[in-house]
Amino acid sequence: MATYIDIITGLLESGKTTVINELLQSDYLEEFEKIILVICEEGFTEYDEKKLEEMNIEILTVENESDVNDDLFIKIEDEYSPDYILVEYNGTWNISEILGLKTPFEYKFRNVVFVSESGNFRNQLSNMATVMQPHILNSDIVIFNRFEKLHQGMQKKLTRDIKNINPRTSVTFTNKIETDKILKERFLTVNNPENTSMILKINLKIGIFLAFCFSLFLIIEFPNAYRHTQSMVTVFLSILMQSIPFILLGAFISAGIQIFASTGWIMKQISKGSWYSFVIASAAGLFMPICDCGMVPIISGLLKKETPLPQTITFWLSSSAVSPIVIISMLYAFPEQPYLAVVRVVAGLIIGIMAGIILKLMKLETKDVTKGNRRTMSIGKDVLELKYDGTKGKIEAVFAGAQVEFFRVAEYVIVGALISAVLQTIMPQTMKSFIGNNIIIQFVVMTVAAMLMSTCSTSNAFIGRSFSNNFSTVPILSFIVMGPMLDLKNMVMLSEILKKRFLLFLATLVIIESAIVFGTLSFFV
Amino acid sequence: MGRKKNMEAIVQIFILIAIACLLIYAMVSKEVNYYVHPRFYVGIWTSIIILILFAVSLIAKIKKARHNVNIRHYIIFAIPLLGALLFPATGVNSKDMTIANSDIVASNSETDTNTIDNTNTDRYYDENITSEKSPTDIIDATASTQQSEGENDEVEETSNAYEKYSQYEVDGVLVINDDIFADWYGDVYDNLDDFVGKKCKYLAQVYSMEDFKANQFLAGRYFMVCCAADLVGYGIVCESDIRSELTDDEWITVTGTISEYEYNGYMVPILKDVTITDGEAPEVEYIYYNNY
Repeated sequence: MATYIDIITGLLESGKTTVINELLQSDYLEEFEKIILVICEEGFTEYDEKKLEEMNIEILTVENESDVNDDLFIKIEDEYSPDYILVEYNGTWNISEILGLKTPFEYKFRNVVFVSESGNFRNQLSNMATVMQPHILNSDIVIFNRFEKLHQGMQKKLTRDIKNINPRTSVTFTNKIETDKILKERFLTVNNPENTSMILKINLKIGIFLAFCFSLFLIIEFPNAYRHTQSMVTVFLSILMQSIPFILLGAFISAGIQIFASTGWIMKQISKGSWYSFVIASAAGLFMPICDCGMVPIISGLLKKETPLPQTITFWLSSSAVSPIVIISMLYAFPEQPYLAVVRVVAGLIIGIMAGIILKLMKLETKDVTKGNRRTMSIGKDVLELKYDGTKGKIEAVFAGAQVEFFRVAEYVIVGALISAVLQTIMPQTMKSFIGNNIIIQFVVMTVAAMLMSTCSTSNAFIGRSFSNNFSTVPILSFIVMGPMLDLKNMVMLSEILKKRFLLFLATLVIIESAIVFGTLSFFV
Repeated sequence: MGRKKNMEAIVQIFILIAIACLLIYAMVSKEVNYYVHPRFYVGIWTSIIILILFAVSLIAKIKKARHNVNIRHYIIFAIPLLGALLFPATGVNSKDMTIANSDIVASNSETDTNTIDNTNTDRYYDENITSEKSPTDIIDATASTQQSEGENDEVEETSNAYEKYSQYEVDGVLVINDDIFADWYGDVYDNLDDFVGKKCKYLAQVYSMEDFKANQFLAGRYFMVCCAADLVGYGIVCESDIRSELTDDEWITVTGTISEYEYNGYMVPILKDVTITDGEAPEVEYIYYNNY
């Protein structure tokens, strides 16, 4: 029989003791015979000692953080061998201390409950982010009490704040512990974590079995399926392989921007928000000789630092136009028409600057289009636990930040690369039938191709070049220019920070602008 | 006695080490050549070092116990890791033939349109991997570079594209190695006249094309610009009596005399009087386009 440990944590006066008192009186804990209450803080609501004695509950007081050590649970087991331990934890202490303590094997941490007073929460979070975040991050449930005075919208905002820190935790606004649905689920042992993990394991096994059967069926039914998959996997892995160095570089630059933000000259220029800043933003890509997949983390790093949206978007869109690598690849792909490289740069710049100006005229701001709360999403020095100070600490921060950023971006790269690998193996055959001499159809096909087929801004020129049999020069140029801007992989990666609706809008804007730019261009060529 | 660990850190370390190991394996076994252009070597080695450093820096975090962590979203990393383990890149024979096969049909339809189209770039017919990026392309670029150089030369001295390769001539046979294959291939198409009647020898793979005659096949190689997503096969038509004994993607050494041949309305090079000997698959199977 397992011994469950539930931890109730939260700042002073948040109402932990009230929650515990109600829990003890509720029928949630009826099944336990020996309950230990560990108190790490003297709250303002005293415990009804008589009642506790009646219920055969032992109280243990831990006064110093240093007393939270390996002896704690071992001593408890030796003295009481309880089947349930309820901990009232000090909200200013390090939560991973108690979670990492040595325990007998049958001990299981079941629920970590973060209790907070609704009215003060936002204030407290902004003042004590480092203290509170780990508690929320490790929690299963967040209970907001004294919420009566809040209006409906505020409850939603608080929920979002919590979900930004920990998407897995459940948020509940309640003063009645016994009747709350979420709490009931978590505190009745029927739904204990052990059971759910069992279900998960069974599901996983069935899933693997089905996948295995399915692949076996495919191999038998279609002998070529294995080889097709193999070549698809090769394409998929090759896209990943070539992007890993760029993503790492991008992650380091992005982490650097987020940590040293105020020092960057380009940053300052972009942040000014003046009209002149558009020129700087569009030219800044010249100093970032990396692929578009490396640019994405940089862009999200900038947005997390709340740079003005129009300039940042201009920077993003034109970075692939002015990147030195891209210009060189253009010259190599079209050696007999070097002016195309110039046209490509100019067209990219126009689209980038125009998009920025339109966004500025629409008065769209960064916070309108980014997901969630950037303050908690960005890697602040405070969130990363650092060992060193000064320069050493900053280097450590960039390194740790880059690692966090890498995992964040890598997920999206994998999804993006998988989509483009699958589409690249399937699409070509179907797309051929659409090709005609009609220039408008050519534009449409090239736009679709830009979304699905541009692997990397460097090889884009060569891919575009290969269309030259069936397409005129201007539609091909539109493919090369729009490629990095519309590439599905980049879009998926950007959706980490930007709202999908805005991305859709941006894509439409780019397509419309390209239609205008290249439509005009086709009159001259 | 047990102790709660930070599962997230453990999973992250595992992923980082796994990626690093696979990359090291790819680099050491040279399998990396099937995926990306050699110019990524430095980048990949640097990445390996950084990934390992990331993993090392995470070791200290294992002790920081975490509750209610979401490990499930790391499942996505299983896709590339399993993919790399289950579907090793084993070279053109097993891997690319399928694509090549399925695409030959596609490229045929392309060559058809080529005939109608009159852009002077579509003299090549080829098999292609990601067929949309197919005819012309890379080689065009090389070809044209060479062409413009050739024109410049002509102003100074009447030169012959063949001259560039005369140093590779051995006993009256031009021996084309992998390092000059791309340049040579472009030149043959662009300055066919200069090469007619010359004897050439090179290592190639056998590709079949649907609209070829029974004794014809394409002797060519796969070209890579950046990564496997842009692989394209290019070759020269060969006529041989032992065509039926050759299998697709087989490695051969062809020696033959270059002649002119009309294919779909265009003059293309063809190898005649072909002698075919067994070729050995080279360590690096693709031709890498190296000009940038």
